[in-house]
This record gives sequence, structure tokens and C-alpha cells, in this order.
Amino acid sequence: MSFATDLLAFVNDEISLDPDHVAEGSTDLLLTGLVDSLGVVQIVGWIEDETGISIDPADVVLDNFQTVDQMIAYVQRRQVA
Amino acid sequence: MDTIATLPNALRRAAAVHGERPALVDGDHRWRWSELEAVVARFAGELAGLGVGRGDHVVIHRAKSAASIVSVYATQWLGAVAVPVDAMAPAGFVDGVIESCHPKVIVIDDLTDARLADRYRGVARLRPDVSPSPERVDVAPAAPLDDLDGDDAAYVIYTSGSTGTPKGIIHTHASALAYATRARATYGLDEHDVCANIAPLHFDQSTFELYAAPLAGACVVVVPDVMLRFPAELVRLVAGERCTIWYSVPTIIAQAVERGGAADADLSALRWVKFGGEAVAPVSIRRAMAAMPSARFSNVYGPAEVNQCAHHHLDGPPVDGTTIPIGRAWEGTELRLRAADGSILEGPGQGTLEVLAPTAMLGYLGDPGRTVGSFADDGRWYLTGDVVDRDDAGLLRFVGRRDRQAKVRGVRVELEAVETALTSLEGVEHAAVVVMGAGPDARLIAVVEANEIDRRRAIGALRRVLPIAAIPDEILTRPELPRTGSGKIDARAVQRLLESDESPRSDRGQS
Repeated sequence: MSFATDLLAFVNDEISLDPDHVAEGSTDLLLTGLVDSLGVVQIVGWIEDETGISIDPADVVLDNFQTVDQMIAYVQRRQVA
Repeated sequence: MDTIATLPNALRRAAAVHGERPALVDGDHRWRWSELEAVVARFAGELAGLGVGRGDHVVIHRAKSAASIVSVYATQWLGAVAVPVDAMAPAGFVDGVIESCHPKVIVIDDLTDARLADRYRGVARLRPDVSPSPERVDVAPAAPLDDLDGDDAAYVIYTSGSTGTPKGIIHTHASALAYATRARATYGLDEHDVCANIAPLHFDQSTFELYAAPLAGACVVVVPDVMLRFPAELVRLVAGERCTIWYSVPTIIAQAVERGGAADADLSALRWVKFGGEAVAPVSIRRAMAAMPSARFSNVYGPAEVNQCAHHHLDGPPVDGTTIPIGRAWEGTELRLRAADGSILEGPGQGTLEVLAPTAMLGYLGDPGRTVGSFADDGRWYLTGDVVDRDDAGLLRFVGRRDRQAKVRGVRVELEAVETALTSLEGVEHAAVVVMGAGPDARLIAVVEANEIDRRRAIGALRRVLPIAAIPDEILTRPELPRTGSGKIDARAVQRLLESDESPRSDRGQS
């Protein structure tokens, strides 16, 4: 299982507020209301635990967390840097 | 200064006096007062073209942007009534609102249009176009309705009632302006101020930016709904736009301090931080004061039915173990406490708060019975249902609710409505919902009488009928719930049971 698949599964199984709506990598999690502010905090914590990177609160912005794809791109940038 | 009797007049005066000054900011888009007036008149023209006129309702159901604010103003321009509804509200709630106010038009965006799908096809839907070069060019701007007066309804704010049916609170131009005038004076608002519009438009805190700002010619910076989930982004916006006034629930202030880097940002333009809508721990305000040293802090009190009616400006950091006062009534408003024996309390003590205020609502839409029941003395004194303590100095402090209404993360939640929704689930016959903790730490806990429950399914089903704030953070099961002598579920006993539990859990209830 890749990190990307795991993250998507975590969002759908543990965070999503609507079990009938299966999010894909490109789904806008915020405008669709699938993820609330508590959900964002939980996702940040999960990514930190899984990857060992520490996420600066200043990086927790719309551009990095609107979709699972954006979260993955953010993590990849951090791991390269 | 001549008297302004209606909201469109406030807007026109701001355009006449402060025409070249900034009025509205949304991302990279900016409108001066003269431009804002033109855009409002133009969108009013579109609404008028769809038959909107005096007294009609216009539901504004879209993610918040400058266009949402323009939609509110344009509706009122025509003497019609603006009804802002959360873009994220569950379908059941949106349907309840539409069936209660029978709107002439629903102002939408792509997402809410898709969510409405084929429901209410008979009602016109409109996407606002507020760009300087609009696509629809054949629209003539509308003139503001000239015989509009202060007693005309201006907006309706819906909250979820205890039965789960939305309850519409009607405010008039007069009640909105009575509030705006006092708010402007209390916080010394002028044309150099920049107000961060943090609250959603369906939440009455936003009436500060919507109505007090035009009176003063102050600028409003729109904070999009989704930004409330990203404290660092909110702090950056408030710093970047040099906002002078912050008004939000304390939870959002706490997040800005704890996760948004408020202490390291340049927030030196802030003059006032206003907070209200829920109880708050002194430590959370102390930290905010340290992070925002240029601002004075003001605790604001008032149910949506009367808007702000009391406030307390803090003299210094609040001390642990104390309750931050909701203060005293502002100008033209009287507050009294009714003791348990029905008498009016003189001097210090505890009682239920009643309010006589020019900022009071007209009533509940389509529910004259409830309107009559919520006022005493010929409909003059509004009965808040809030239990309040008055000290020797006459300062008021919020104690709790007389009924089972609760505040969770700043949103009013009727616990009975959540219980009703839970008992509609398969396999759940009885449920009790209680609030554990206070302020930003308040958590909604549901206990259902069942051996087991599919929590994910349950939360999914609740999402369709309840607002997000009313979704329990945790759903626990018990084979049997405590009952009162009359056989009803005893929510207080459930609360005591949970409080004596030593294992506080913080998951969201997934199994």
C-alpha cells in the first residue's frame, strides 16, 4: 500500500462526514463539506505520524489541504527538501 | 447628521460621502463605495427582473464571497428580505427554510446548485455576477425602493428549533440600524476601519460588518467559509489587510493563537477583538491578549433575537477561576432578571434575563404563537431563557440555559433536535445528548439505548438532517439509559454518569 492510497483510505474511512460520498484524490474536501476543522487537524496529525515530518502550522493552508492530491504533493515537496 | 431609516439609505450615503474609499475586499478583488453601490443596484436589477419586490424573500445559499454580501444588499435595495443559509447546511434544513419562507429567488453557486439538484425547480436560481465587466450586459440597475420604511423586514436568520424545524428570526431595517448605530458608537467605527468579516452570513455576528460598516464607511474584508478551517491563512489575511476589528467566536481566536501563528504575525493594526457566542476560558483570552497586544478585547452578549444587547470591555487579562462578564446593557436597552419565584430581582443575584431593546426582532417567521410566547409585557420584553448572575457592581455573568439549548463551538444546538434525529435511526429507540466541557472544548456526546451501533452509518444519516455543529463528537451505547420518575430519559443523570467516567476519550466516535 502506498502512502497515497493509505491517506485516501484514512480520509474516507475515518474523517469524512459523509459515508455515502467516496472522495477521490481530486475531490475538494472542504467545499463539499466532507472535512471540518477538526478533520483537518486529525489529517495533519496522521500525516505527521505516518511520515515523520513535522508540519508547520503556517503550512496548514487551503492550497496544501483542499484535496488529497494536494496533501500528497505537499508531503512530497517536504520529503525532497 | 440626518437620520438613516433604511439599510439601502446607509449604503447610498456611504457611496456619496466615502465614494472613493475602500468598501469591500475579497481576495484580489476590491470595490470602492461608489463601485459597490453600482454593483448592488445592478444585481438588484437582475433580481427585480425575476419579479423580486417588497416583502419577497431571497434565499442566499452559497459559499461566502463578496457576491454573497452584494446579494444581501441588493435584496434589501428592493425592499425584499435577505435569508442567508449556510452552503454546507444539510438538505433537510435547507428544505425547511425554503418551505418556511417561500423565496422568490435562490442565489446559488455551482456547488449549492448541484446539491439542490431537482428540488424546488419552480423557484428561480441566480448566480450573482459582481465583476466590473459583467457577462449579462442587458440588465438595467434598479433604483432603491423609495417608500421603504424602518418597519419593513430586512433579513431573516434561521436557527434549528427544538423539533428540528428551522426557526426564522425576522429583523427589520429599524432593528438592524438600531444595532448598527450602537455598534458603531461602542467601538468608535469610522471610515479608516477595516473589519474582518469572519462570521458566516447566516450567523448574526456578521450583522456587525454587514450593517455597522456602511454606517461608518468602514471597509469589510471577506473571510471565506473554508478559511475558518485554516487559522494560519486567516491570520495572514487579517495581517495583510491591516484589519482593525476582529469579531468571532472565541474558538476561532483560540485557533488563531494556537495554530495560526498570531503571536508572530503583524497584527498591530487591530484596535478591537470582539468575541461572543459561547462561554470562554480566561486562559484562552489571556493568550490572545498576549498575541494581539494592540487590541482591546470586548465580550459581546446577545441572542440572535435581540442581537448584541450587552458587552464588557476587558480592563486586563482575565484571571483563572473567574467568569468573564457579559457586562451591562448598552444605550437604549434595558435588562432585568426574573427570579425563580417570578418576581423581578433587584440588586445582586441570579435570574432569567429579559431584554427590552430597539434591536429586538419583529418575530419568528410564520409562527405568531412562538413570537407571542417569547415576549412578556405586550411583546416588549424578550425572554432570553438565559440564566444570568448579577454581582454587587451590577455586572452580569452568563450562568447557563433554562432549557436544553446549548452552544457548541459557537453554534446554537437544540439538544432535543439531536435526540429526535438519533431516535429516527434504525435500532435506536432512546437517546440522550449532553454537552461535556465548555467553550472551545465543548463536546457533544450522544448516548443511545442500544447494544451496538454502526457509528459511521449513524453519523452519515445525521449529517443529512443536522447542521455540522449538531453532529455528536461521540456516540456511546448503553443497554439502558437512566429515567426520571415519570419515565422520561434523564439527560442530567446521563451527564453525571459521563462526568464520573474516568476515561475521557477524544476520538470522533468511530469504532
